[in-house]
Amino acid sequence: MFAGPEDTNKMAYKGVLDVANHVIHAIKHTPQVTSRLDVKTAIVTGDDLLPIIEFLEAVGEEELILWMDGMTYRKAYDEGNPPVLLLIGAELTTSNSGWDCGACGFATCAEFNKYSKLNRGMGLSAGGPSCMLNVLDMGIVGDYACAAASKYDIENRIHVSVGLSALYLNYLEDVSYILGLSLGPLEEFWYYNRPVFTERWNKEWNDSWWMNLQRTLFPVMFQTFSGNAHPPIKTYDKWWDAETQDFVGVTPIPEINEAKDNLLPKILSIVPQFRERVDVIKARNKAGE
Amino acid sequence: MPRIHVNEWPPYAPSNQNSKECSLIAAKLMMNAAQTAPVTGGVDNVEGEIVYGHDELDDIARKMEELAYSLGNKKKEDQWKYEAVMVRESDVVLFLGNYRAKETPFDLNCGVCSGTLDCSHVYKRRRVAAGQIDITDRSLCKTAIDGPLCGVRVGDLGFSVGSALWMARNLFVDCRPFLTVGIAGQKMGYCRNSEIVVGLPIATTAKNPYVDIHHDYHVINMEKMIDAVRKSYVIARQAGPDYRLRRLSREPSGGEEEAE
Repeated sequence: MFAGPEDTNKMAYKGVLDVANHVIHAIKHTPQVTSRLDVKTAIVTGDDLLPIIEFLEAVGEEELILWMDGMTYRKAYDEGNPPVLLLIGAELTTSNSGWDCGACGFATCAEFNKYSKLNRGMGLSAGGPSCMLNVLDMGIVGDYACAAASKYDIENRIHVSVGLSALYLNYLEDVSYILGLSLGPLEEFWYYNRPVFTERWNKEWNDSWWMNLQRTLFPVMFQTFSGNAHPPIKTYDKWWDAETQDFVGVTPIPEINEAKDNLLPKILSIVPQFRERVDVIKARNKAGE
Repeated sequence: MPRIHVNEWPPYAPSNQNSKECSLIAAKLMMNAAQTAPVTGGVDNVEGEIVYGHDELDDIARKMEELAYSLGNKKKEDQWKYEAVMVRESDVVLFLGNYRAKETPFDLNCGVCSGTLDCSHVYKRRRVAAGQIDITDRSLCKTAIDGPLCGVRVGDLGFSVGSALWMARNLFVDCRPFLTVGIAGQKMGYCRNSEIVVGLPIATTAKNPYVDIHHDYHVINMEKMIDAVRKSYVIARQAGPDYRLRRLSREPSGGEEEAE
């Protein structure tokens, strides 16, 4: 037998599914604090990733991190190297370990369970309220998955973004929280030093987008003498020039409030159309296709 | 070249001390592994502390036994007491805590703690000043852990604990994550900046001390068995003869021999 470069690439990509299997072994073998967390897993790859990618892109218009991961996934898919996505989910909203530890803010597990049942809801990335010991175990499980993947020297990253997309789109049922572990593409850096950012980086983007982000998030880094209540901020090279001077200030921005209020309704409005596609995927899987 | 001999028995004898010192090295590597665990946003939030030595571990076990009763949780009373024995049988205890879970939440509106699209669940149940959580009043806590905590941070602690456990498994030392040990250690001032602490006892023994134990382990275990032999056998042996005057025949048919 001889396998040339193209064949070995194909073989290696097929092997990523084996790695996913090994990671599931590690997940099932994770030492937990409660030893009661029922972890559910699913594998998504190829065209079945498309609903997740498109959902990340749609919600990414409002949320930076989702936008970043959406772009990263899109590039891998378009180049014919979609990652193998391992979904790791669990139902965290019911405490059944009886510790009465208080980490959730309630005196007993019974009180928490009563509250949780009546106040079930969804945040940006998870259902809740959650038992903190379940959350702790979910973390241990997530880390074991990462550690198992790292043993195989394969590019990987654990994401909340991909996980929450899968949660909204119902890839895994009866879970309140999902972490997504991306395995592959087979590159040294895909989710770190991201090629998708590297290739679009230029001075204009740097000055207009990146530096603006830095000034917005860390104004103190760029501000001048702080004795003034509204010190000038160095937006431009000639920051002392009165005609182009910006100032540090704290002020309401109604449109941001509005966007924040509209985020969940927006997500919920687009979810049904995606769920229909995911239902088709799951039905196909059930039929053994 | 100096000789390094190891033998599990007797505990804390020089030969056992040699392997205990290696467990200590493993604990240090586990602590570093915990620091490199993937965490949300890459923000550091884990602190670790290693406790080593016979008396130091016994102090933790005693605290666990005290908490078994003082917390008043009947369902967990046995678990506290059994796991105290396991701490005594360990070489080292590694504590890992999250020092941000109580005071500096991730402020992500993620919904893990509450199922709502904001962080009010935590902030409403805490003293707050200038939008910051005020942790100075520690008298308010009536439970083992002073909640509510930030779910993202607690999940991150899980990741750190996971990496430490993975390292333990790779180094072939026995280890399990215990909430009991963590709570006791936190109350004793280990990982003092953290409200939630997990205790990871580590042992290098032929039999993993953290599995295959039976009920009433706090009164029936290796240490108690050995002490029982010591207190009983020394009495029973006093019923024997003067070995210098009555010699036992080694012949198959022989009985006692007369004194010479």
